[in-house]
Amino acid sequence: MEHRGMHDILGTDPSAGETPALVVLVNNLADWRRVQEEHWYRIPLRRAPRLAGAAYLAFYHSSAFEEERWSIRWYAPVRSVQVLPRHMLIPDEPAHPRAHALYLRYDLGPLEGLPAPVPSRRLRRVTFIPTTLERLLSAGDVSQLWIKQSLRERLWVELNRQGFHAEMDAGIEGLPDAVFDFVVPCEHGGVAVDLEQGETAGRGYREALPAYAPADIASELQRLGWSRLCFERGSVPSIMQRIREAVDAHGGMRLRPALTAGR
Amino acid sequence: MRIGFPGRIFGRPRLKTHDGRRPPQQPHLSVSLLYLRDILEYLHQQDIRLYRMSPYLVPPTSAPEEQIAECQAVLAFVGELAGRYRIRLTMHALAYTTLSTPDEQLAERGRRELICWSRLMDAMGLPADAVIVLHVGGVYEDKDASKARFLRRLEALPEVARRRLALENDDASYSFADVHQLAARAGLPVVLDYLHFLNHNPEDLPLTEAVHLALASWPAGVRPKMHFSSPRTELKGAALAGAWPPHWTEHADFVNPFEFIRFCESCLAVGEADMMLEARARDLAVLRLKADLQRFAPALARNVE
Repeated sequence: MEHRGMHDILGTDPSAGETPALVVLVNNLADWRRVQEEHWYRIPLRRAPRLAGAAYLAFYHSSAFEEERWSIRWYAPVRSVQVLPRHMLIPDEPAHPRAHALYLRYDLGPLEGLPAPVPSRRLRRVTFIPTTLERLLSAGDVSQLWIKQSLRERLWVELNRQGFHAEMDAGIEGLPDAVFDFVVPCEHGGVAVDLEQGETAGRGYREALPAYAPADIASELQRLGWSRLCFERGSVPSIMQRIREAVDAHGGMRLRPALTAGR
Repeated sequence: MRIGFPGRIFGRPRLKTHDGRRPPQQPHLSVSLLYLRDILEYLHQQDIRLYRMSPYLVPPTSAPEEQIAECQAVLAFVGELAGRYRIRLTMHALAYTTLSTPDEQLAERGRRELICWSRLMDAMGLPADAVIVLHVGGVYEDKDASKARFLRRLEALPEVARRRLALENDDASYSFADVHQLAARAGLPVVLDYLHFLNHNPEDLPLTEAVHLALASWPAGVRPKMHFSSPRTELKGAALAGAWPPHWTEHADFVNPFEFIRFCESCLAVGEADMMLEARARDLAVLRLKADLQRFAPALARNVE
C-alpha cells in the first residue's frame, strides 16, 4: 500500500472530467481483510445505491476499527464487477439466511492511501457516498464528499418535466442586458426566477446591471409587467408551486416567443 | 410509442455512459455495465422507456470477446433490469464503422465491432427490437461499387450480427430510397431519420410514402423505430466576431413539438413506432416533448409509454 499525490493518480489526462468514486462502509475486520488481502468488496444488490457505478471504491471505517475509525484513508481502483449469490462469495457460510441473495462484487486493484485521511468530525453514519476521486483526494471532511445536484439543475429538469415554457439564462424584452436563471413568459408579463445560492449567487440582473439596487430590479420588472421570484433555498416542489402560482397570477404561460437571447 | 434519446444524461450529468478510463488503467466492460444500470434506474425514475447505449460500453481492449465472456452474469442482470423496467435498448454504429469502404482493414474493424455489439446484446438477453443502427457509409467516388461492397460485407456477416442490424438513411450520400433498396436486398429493416430525409431526398419521395416503406420493412412483432429531430435555427458564432447561419442538418437542442405532432398525426398510426429523439438536450428534450404533448396533443400523449 502506498501513498501517491493527485497528479500521479490522475495520470496524464486531468481534463478527462470527474472520476466516479464510491465511498463504502467497512464495519468489520473480516470484510477489511478481504479488501486488503483478497482485493474485493461486496454490496447486497437490493441495497445498492442509485449510483453504484464507480471507477474507485474508498473505504470508511466504522467504530469497529480503533485508529482508523470514522475516517477514510484508503481507496482502490475497481478492476471489474460481478453479480453473484452470497454463497458463492462466501462459501464457508452456506446456511446464511441470505445465502442466495445477489451481491455486487467489486474486484479491486491494490489499495492506495489518500494523501491525507478524510475524517468524519460529526461522526456521520455513513453507508454509501457517491462522489468523485478528485473530491476524495482534496476533502478535509467526509461532509465535503457529498455531491448534491444543484438546485438549478434540478429545477431545470422539473420545469421541463412539468411542461413550463421556461428558458434558462435568458433575458426579458425591455431589459436588454439582464439575464435571469429562468424566465417564464406569461399572457401578461412573465415570471423571472433567480436562485441566490452557491455558485449562482449574485448572477442575473444584479450581475448584468450592477448599478441597479435590488429595489430597482423590482420596479423595472414591475414596469414591464413581470415578477421576480428569488430563492435562496427550498425544495424543488415548493419552488415549483411558487412558480406555478406566479405564472397563474400573470394569466398563464404565453407561447409566443418573447425572449431576448440568453448569454 | 416510446420516446427516447441517445447517450449522455443531461438531467443528471454525473451519470457516466461507459468506463472511460484509458487502457493503462484497465477499463472493464463490467464497470460500464454498472454505469448502465445506474442510467436504467434514472430512466425508470423519469419514465423514459427508450435509450441508445454508448458504443463505447466495451472498452478498447485487444480482447473484447473475453470481456463479454467474463461478464455474462452482469450482462444478464442489466438486460433483465431493462426488461423489468420495459426500456428498449438500442445501439448506433460509430461514424467509422463502415462496410462500404474500399479500405479492407477499416471494413474488418467495422465487422468486428458489429459482431461484438451483437454478442453483447445477446448476452444481455435483449429482445429482437434491440437493434444496431448502421449507415451505409461513404460513396468513395463510385456509389455503385460502394453499395456492392456494402452488400457483400453485409451478407458475409455472421447471423448473430445480421439479425440485429437496421439501416438508416443519411443526409448527404445515401437517401432513404437508396437505403430502402439496399435493406430490401439484405432483408434488413430501415430506420427512417426524419431530419436526414428532409435534407437529402433527391428522389422527391413523399414523406408519408417513406414512412410507409420504413414501417413495412420491420418484421412482424418488432416495433419499428425512427429518428426525429428539429433543425437547429440559431445564428452561430458571436455577433461581434462574425456570425453565420446554421446548417439545416444540425440538430436543435429541443424538438419542435408542433413539427413532431404533425409528423405523428399525418404519418403514423397509434403506437406504430418508437421515436428516438436526436436532440442536443438529450433526456431534457424527451421530458420537454412529453410535457408538450400533454398540452398540445393529449390524444397522442396518451399513447406515449
